[in-house]
Amino acid sequence: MLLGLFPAFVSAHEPVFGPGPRTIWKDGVGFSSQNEWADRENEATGDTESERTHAVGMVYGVTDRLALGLRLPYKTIVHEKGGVSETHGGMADLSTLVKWNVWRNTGKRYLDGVTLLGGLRLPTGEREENISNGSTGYVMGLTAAREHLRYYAFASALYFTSGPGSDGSRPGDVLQYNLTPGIRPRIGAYTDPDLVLLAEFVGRLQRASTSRSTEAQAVPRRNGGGVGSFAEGVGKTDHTLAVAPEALFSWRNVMIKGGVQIPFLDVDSDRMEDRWRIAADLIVQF
Amino acid sequence: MIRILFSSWIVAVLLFAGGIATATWAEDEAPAPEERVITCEVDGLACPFCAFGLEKKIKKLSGVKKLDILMKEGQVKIHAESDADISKKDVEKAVKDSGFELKAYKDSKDEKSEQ
Repeated sequence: MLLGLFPAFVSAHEPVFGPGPRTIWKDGVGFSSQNEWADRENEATGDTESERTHAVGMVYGVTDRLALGLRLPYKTIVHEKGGVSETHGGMADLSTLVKWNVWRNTGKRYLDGVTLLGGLRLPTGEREENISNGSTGYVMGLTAAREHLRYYAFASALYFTSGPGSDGSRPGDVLQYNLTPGIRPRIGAYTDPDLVLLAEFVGRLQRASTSRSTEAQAVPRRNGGGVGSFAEGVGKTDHTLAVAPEALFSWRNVMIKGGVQIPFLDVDSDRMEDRWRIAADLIVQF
Repeated sequence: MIRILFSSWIVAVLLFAGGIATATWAEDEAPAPEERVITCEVDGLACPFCAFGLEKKIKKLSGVKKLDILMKEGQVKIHAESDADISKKDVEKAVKDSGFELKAYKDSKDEKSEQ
C-alpha cells in the first residue's frame, strides 16, 4: 500500500522498498513491471490478509537531474475475518512522482547525491472492490546516497499523508525511513552482467486512521496504513522495523531486482501488520 | 626450347615485379583512414546500468564508430572517424546529460596536429 505511492525509478541501483537519489539521463525513458506480494495479520483479532500487486511504471528524464514517473497498479486482496474469506481485485490508484536531484558530487568510481521527491496518489482505483477508498494521497521526501563501484550507502525519509476518502475516513499519516548498505561482490567490465547485494532497513511510524462510520471501521484500509495526523497530534502511533535482503541484477539496460521484507520489531499489535513482503521488478531503460 | 624457358622466366620476373609495384602503388593511391581516438576521464561511473545512458548519448555523436567504457579506470574511449565532427563541447554535453562529469579530454587528432 505504501509502495502504491512510489513508482520504482528505473535510472539506477536503488533499494527495492525505498528510493535512491538517482534520476535517469536527459530524455531517457524507462519502463518497469513491479510485482509485490504481502501477507499481514492482526495478532489481536486473528484476521489475516494477503495482497498481490502488479503494476506498470514509466519514468522520463526531463533533464539529467529531474525525472517524472507514473505507476498504475492492479491489486488483489484476500481478507480473512472470523473464518470468512473475502476477495477483492481491481485497478488501484494511479500515482505520479517527481524526483529532483538537488546536489551531486562525483569522483572517480563514485557519485554522491541528494534528491527531493514529491508525488500524488490519485483516487482512480476501484472503490466497489475496496481497492481504493477514494482519497488523494501525497508523498514528499528526501533521499541521499554514496554510490561507489564497490559499495553503496542509501538513506531516505518519506512522509505520506492523505485527504478524506469517499466514506469520510482518512487514512493515517506515515513516516517511513530507510537505511541501506550494499556491495558489488565482483566488479566486471561495463558489458558484463552485474550483481549488487543490499540489506535494507525499513522503519515506519504510522498514525491511526480517523473514521466517521462504523462501516468504515470494518473495511480493510488500503492506503497509508496508519491512522491520524502527526501534524494534528491525534491518533496512536505504531512503529515497525523491518529488514530486507535484496539483489539487483543488471545487464546493459535491463535490470531485475527483488527483495524480501521481514518485520523484526512491532511496537503495537492491535492492527494489521506485515508478516512478510516480497517485491520483484523488471526494469528496461532506453 | 631454351628461348621458351628464358622467355617464361622473364615474364615471371616481370609479373612478380609488377605485382609488387602494383601493391605499393595501390597503397600510395588509397591509404586506409586513420582512426581518431578521444580518451576522456569521467567522474561518477559507479554502475554499468547507469552508464548505459552515457553509451547512448555518445554513440549519437556524429562519426562515432565504437565506444569503450572502462568502469574501473573511470575512462571512456571514443573511436571515431578521422574527420568526425566531434568537439570537446559535444562530448562534455553528452557526459553531463547522462548524469556524469567530464574531468579530462584528450583527442588523438589534436596530438597529430601538434606533430
